[in-house]
Amino acid sequence: MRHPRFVIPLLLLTLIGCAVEESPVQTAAPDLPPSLFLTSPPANARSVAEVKESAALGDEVVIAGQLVGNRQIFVEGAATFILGDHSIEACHPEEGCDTPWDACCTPITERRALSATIQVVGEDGKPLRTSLKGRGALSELKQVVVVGKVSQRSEGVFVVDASGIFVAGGDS
Amino acid sequence: MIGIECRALTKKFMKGETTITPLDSLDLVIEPGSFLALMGPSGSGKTTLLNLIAGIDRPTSGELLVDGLDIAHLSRSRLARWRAEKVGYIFQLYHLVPVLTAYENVELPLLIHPLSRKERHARVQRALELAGIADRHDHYPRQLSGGQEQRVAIARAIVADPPLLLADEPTGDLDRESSTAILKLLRKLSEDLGKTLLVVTHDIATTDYAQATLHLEKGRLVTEPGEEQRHA
Amino acid sequence: MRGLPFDYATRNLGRSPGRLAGALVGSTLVTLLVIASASFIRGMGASLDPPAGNSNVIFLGAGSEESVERSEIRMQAADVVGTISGLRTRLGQPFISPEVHIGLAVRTDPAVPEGRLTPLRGVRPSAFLVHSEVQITEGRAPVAGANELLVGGLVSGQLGVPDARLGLGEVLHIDGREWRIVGRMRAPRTVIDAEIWIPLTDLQVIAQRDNLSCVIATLVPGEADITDAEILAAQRLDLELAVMTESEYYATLSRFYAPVRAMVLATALLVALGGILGGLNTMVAAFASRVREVGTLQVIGYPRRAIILSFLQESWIISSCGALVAGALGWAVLDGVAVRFSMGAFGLIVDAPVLAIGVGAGLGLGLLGALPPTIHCLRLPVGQALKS
Ligand SMILES: Nc1ncnc2c1ncn2[C@@H]1O[C@H](COP(=O)(O)OP(=O)(O)O)[C@@H](O)[C@H]1O
Ligand SMILES: [Mg+2]
Repeated sequence: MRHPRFVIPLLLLTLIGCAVEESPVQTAAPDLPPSLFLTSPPANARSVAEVKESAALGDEVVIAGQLVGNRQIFVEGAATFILGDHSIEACHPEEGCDTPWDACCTPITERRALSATIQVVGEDGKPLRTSLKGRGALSELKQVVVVGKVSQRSEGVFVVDASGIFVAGGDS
Repeated sequence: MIGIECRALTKKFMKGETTITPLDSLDLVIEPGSFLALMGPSGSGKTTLLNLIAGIDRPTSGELLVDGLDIAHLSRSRLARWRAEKVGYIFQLYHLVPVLTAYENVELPLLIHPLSRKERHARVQRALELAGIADRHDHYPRQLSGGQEQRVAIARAIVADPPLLLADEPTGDLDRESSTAILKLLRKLSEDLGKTLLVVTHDIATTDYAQATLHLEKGRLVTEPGEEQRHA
Repeated sequence: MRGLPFDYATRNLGRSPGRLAGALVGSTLVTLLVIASASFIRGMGASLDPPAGNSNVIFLGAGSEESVERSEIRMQAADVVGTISGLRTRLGQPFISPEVHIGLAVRTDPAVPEGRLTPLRGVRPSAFLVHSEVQITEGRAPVAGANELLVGGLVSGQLGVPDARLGLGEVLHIDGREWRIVGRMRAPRTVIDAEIWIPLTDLQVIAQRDNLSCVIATLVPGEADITDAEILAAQRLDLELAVMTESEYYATLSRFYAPVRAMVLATALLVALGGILGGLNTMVAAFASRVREVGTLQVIGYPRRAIILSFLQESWIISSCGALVAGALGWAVLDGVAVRFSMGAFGLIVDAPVLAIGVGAGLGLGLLGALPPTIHCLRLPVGQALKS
């Protein structure tokens, strides 16, 4: 006797289902350079803000920062992430935010001014087609030091091709 | 022809705390082919007895054999099938289906049986003729008088040719003239077709047509009618 | 075993014309309601479904991923998106559409103080490349600087005017100025159908903004994918871009409106439940008046099964008539009707599945609704039923 009440919503719900398309087939994920993750912090690290201010295109840099300042820190299918300056304040977990690393209380323009793009490139100079998330203990909110070379630099744009990444508190 | 045997037949109804016993350890044998009138004051258990014999209700205790069959222990659906074959029931208030014509009402019991349309037609026609109502076959119950309705009801009761006819005050709602006609019809069914007939009645005239009369009082058969009934 | 004649069921219907009418209207309404809510949910769902085989990516302002109307990105973003290799091109023109999406009051009558909030989309001609589902059915695309508009198929419903009022050459009032309709477009089952398209620069002037809401680009599958777009967004920190596939974007919208669908569903169920209870009541009354007759049928030798079947037939006749009427009505009247929603609109869809659900529900409810009163009616012992 209770059937009608359940059957109809079920039938209707089947109509609502929305098909989300998958992105095109990816080739097998390439390996990261074996020496990428460093076991001890490199010396002479400077903050993201400082490096962005002073480094020129082609410079070798050592940048210390945190994985904070964007809702999406990691590019899903490529070895690219956005590194934020220590001065960007993450939201407090007790504020009930699901994504405390997005620092949404700070205006985005301000956050972006204090951020740099870090990528691990292949021989073609393009980011490797594998995400860095979860690799070498990299994850949102982590403190990291990156060693690399400035590959793009213009008004607001600052891209570093990393050769070494140290993750504080990382052990894997 | 069908005979009926009741041994210590008892029917009790629970009405809240109190128990009503409309039939109290009744012993009765009805010979096959007999035409019996059943009299008794109101509430004496006449309808209850009829319903037990028709398999409409089940006895509380005792034995009930109809045509040698212990119908009290048949399943509900077996009972329905058994009734369709063996029993014709005639009600005081006819109980015709108002949305069906006389013909269709009479045809109803036949639809349970696997009969051809032609066969059904022949049987309905014969039953209507026997009941003397063939000329009104396309009338709806509301277009018929009480006597005519009862004729249709009788046609319906006999159309499937059941050996046992049970009638519960079939003339109770009719005038004298119609009553007499109905009683004659019942007697004819008994005499010509050999049906076993049990007719509940309040009408003393019925006893003139029946072969014998049973008197029921407070759930028991009595040989002579009691005081109140003789003066009724 | 044969059953009660079908005539018995049909003629019983005529016993009480009032009840019959009530039951008919009730079952029609319940079916219509189910059809309406299913077509609503289906229409809304379809409008939020990206066209099949779509390989578009949409660049929005980071932080405004849920709403293109709130998103603002720099004009320059369009050129930067053009640096992705693997974009689709035709005759050398890349499939990149810089767009402004904004809801503005649109008036059909300048005397009326308040217009209806209508989604406007500022576009360049490349928009027709990227949104291949858009077809100009009449007239042509608007030219910048000439106060011209291209109007979608559901806009008349959205504005509450007859469709002829939006014919070629007709005038609409936006931002205190007159705009002439030079084209009509259809993009059935998409949000675009409820939109007015206007040259990008014209809309930027009206809205007094020099930025974009989004840039939509079409990728060539196998040559570029969403990851290329994401890398670009991550590298161009200055542009503050977020990117997703158009499918993802619509899925987000769809999730956003899930509570609305749930509400529609809940309302429909409640009303349908009311309808069932009402119908049940009618049936209880209709059957209760026949208790004695049911007893008689059982005495004659009909098994309960046959009686239940006949009563269900009776109810089924009513509900199938109601379902048929409602189905025809729903199909004729509801299909394609514009539903104003948020600031856009979508068309109700009454297609085979929606009709099947509605009619099925109507029939099912008719049968299920008749069962309890039938059983109730048969519960009485025959002896007692005969006396009532
Ligand atoms: N279904 C029932 N439930 C309770 N009491 C009943 C029922 N049927 C009959 N009775 C009672 O049994 C007694 C005999 O009833 P009945 O056989 O109908 O008498 P009558 O001789 O008038 O036909 C009455 O007191 C009646 O109230
Ligand atoms: Mg009686």
